Amino acid sequence: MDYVRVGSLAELGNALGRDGATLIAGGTDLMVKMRAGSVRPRLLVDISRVDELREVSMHPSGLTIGSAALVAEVLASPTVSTNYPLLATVLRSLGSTQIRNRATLGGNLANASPAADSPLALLAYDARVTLAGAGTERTLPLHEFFLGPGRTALRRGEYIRSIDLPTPRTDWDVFFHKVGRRRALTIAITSVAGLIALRGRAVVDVRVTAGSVAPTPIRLRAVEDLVRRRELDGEQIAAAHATALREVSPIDDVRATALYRRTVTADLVARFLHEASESTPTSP
Amino acid sequence: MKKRESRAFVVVGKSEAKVDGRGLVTGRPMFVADVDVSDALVIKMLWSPYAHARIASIDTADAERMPGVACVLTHKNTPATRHTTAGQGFPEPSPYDARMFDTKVRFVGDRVAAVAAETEEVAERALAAIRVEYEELPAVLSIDEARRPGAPIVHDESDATGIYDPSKNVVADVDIDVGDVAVGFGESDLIVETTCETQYAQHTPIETHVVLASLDADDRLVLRTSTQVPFHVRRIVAQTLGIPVHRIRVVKPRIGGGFGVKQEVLLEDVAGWVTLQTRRPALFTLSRREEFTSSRTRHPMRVRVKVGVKKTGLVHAIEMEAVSNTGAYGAHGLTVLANTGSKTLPLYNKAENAHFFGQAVYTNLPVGGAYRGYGATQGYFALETAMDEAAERLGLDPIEFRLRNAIRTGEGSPIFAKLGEGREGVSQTVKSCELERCLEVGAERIGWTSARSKKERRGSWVHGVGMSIMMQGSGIPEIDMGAATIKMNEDGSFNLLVGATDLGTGSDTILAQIAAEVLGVPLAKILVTSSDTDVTPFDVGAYASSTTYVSGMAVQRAAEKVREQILGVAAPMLGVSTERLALRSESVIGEAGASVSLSRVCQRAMYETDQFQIAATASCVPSESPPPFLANFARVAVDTDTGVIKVLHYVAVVDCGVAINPRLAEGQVEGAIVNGIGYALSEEMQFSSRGRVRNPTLFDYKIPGALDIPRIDVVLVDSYEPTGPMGAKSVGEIGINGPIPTIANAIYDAVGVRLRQTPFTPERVLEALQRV
Repeated sequence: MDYVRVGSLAELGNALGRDGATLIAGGTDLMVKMRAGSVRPRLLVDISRVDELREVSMHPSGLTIGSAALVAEVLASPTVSTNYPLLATVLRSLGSTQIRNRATLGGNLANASPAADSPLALLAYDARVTLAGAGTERTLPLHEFFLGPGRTALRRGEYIRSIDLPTPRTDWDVFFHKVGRRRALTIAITSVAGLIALRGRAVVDVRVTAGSVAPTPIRLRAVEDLVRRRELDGEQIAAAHATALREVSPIDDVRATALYRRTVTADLVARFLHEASESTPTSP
Repeated sequence: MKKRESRAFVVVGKSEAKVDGRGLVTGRPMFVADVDVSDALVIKMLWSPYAHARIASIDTADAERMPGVACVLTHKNTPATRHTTAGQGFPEPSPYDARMFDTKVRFVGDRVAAVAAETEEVAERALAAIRVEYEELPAVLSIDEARRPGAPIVHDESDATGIYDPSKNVVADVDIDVGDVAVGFGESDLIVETTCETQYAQHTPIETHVVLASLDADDRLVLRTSTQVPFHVRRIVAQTLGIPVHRIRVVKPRIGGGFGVKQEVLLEDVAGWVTLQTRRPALFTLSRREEFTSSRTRHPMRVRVKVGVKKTGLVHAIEMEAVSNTGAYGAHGLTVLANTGSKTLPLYNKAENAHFFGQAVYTNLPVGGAYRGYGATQGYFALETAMDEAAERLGLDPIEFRLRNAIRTGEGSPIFAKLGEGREGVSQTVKSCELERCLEVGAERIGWTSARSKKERRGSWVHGVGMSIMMQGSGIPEIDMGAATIKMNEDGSFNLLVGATDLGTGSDTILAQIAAEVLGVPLAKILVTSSDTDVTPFDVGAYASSTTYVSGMAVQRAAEKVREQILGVAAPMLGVSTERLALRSESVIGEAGASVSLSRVCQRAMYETDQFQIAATASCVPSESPPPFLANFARVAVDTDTGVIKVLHYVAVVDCGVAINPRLAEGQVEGAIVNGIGYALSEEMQFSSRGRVRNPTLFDYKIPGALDIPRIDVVLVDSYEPTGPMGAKSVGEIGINGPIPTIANAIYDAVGVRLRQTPFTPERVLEALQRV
């Protein structure tokens, strides 16, 4: 196996043209797979020192996060915690301190785990990803980037250049709940994130996302459509619960059964809406 | 009762720093593989992919021809002696049902062949080149399947011995009676019955099993190994390989945890054989995955408890039935089963009628072994759940119910004599029991009266508090032996040589504290050498909560003998008889302030007059096993939406006699509680329909992390065990029995459902709440 560390986007473009090139940034997913022997790259291209890929900057049209920005760096950005509190909340549950100090946001997306934490916030904020390749660049909504477990829209020779989040509403309330077998360093059994803007009990706008309940992290658009511009009462929340039960498509695995995931995901959606309507967050 | 001897301790009872602590925290090379292993062959094992199969043929020719391969071991070229891998006293109470390599494999992860090669990579390639034809056999993958008439027989070989009924897959059968439970239940006013099941779990020591085999200058086999039982390793390897004990030396350096999984001879036979065949050092290390699939586990059990109670609130009859899954081999099968009864039922000695019976059965699943708690953990789940239920139905506070029924100082239990280490036990009277005080302190710490039955709700979270009590033992009476040798040096220091095995528990430190106390020297003057079969006297090793009580008493006796010798030398120096001398502050103190330093005493004995080595060896074979006692309290929150359990506060109040080193004793309890919380809430080996472990990694098998562990208060109550060294009892295991029943009872207090299957995963909690 060869290893090359690139220092600029130009060098990256060249390296990616080489046969069997695999990108590595933090390596927190890739190294585990390499040790297990499930991935055997011929050439590792290390992008962790490409400054252009590490920017975290706010501009008039929103936030741009370079794909090689460390999760810890994103979390440390005051811009992120002020303007995108759901992203900060979700990233705090990603791995552990050590992993957040190595892992990158782009890496978390490229790994395309249905259980990944960061996509829940990014999907809720309508993030787009910019993919660059040999002289080309394209942008697509994040939900089109994920194709299935471990599968993305990245083509051969392409890399994630950045993640772009539009300027958010200033009146979003946020919700995030992850159920795992323990509280840190754990893969979600199910996780639900939400953004909601209310006028009184009327839902001005809403976003609901869920992890570990479909082949990719998903937006629960049927739930969103159901409650958007409606009064948030018990009946409406019950209807949202029923819709969520139908909208997810989980599987049985070593962590939990599909039945449990479906039930709890719908419960968490209801909890999200209930807490928003009562403005009382739940904690033990 | 006498709480404590009037004498004031100087070194004992102090939280001295661990004698090996400095080296450990500064990263000195102290572990098995910390020595130069560059010339060692690397051993890798080919494991069975089938739960049950005969090896029809095995072809190792290609593997043997590979450059860098030193040898390939199979059933064809290794000794066929049946033995047990369980590192227990001799003769072992476990059946002789294992061979180094067998013609049949009995679980996914059983041994098929081993390769020793120059590098790990070569060894792996050689394993892949071994061609094995298997004839797959039907497998039994649960205790119910194993007991079904006509079930496949796991051990059908003719040369196995010590199996209770191999044709029915029964390794062991226990049935003991006190009084008559049928009559007792008839006379009872209330009957409570509950059945609880526990899961497969692994010890997950931070250091997996590892052994380095080599030959010394005299071609003796030296096994440097991560073990709890160096002397049993020497005996069992000698037996398995057919070589004399005196041709083997076993050295246990520092080790990274054991918890019972290293009370087993798992790798040493193979590494030893490779070294004897090749005359090369050989290193054999289990990977984490292999540790899960191929080492040892906690015996899963189904335990049914039936309790008959009189209106007075007195337990009148108890019946406990346990069915234990010992997996593919019977290691510790009988004794873990017996301990499920013998370590639990004496606690409720008011019951005039008691019946314990059960079986340990073979399945084609990973092998059970010793695991901290050793059956008691499984038994207390059902017993303390039943007691909680009985108290509730009587309208009694569960603490009050325990107080009325639990054993007290000065009392015995007929169970002690009826049931012991897989055979009859030893009668004993409890001489120290501060359970009442434990309950009082614990109830106050947790805020029992204000929190109980409040069902305080915060959104979907509901709070509850629960409690449980338990006992364990201190070693195995009339079986265990520990021995210690102490010799004196001319600067007034002492070498303490013990066979006892420090697993990171701190036993080297507390044994040194006992010696220092007797000899009147600071801890730094005791130089500990432990666990080397060429150097130290015999000790059964670290298991059954034996070290503090058994090995500790051996050290105390050896130190007392040495003290007598010192006084004998000093008496003429001070001109008084020995009875009028005392040992204190590194001196022998005579009358009117006259004293002579220990170094002077030793110089005289070594160089000057009537020269001899001041030294002594002493042994301890205990005639009883005084139980430590524990009262547990927990406050938990149950999320009724998700089924997640959060333990908010845990209080463990312990009577372990005098704590030789309070901080180390607290650490043992704290660690055991953490271990137990993992077993209660998240740890679970899961199996495919063909018997393969589905989660053999720490990625999918979740031990608790720091965020999962609540505030844990460990309180050691004042107590004194008159038969123990310096008043001490042992404390290594008891804590792990607490979390399951305590959390289960707290969940019941919160949401009114009883969980009867561990671990209490979010999914099981929601099922119990009938929400999925």
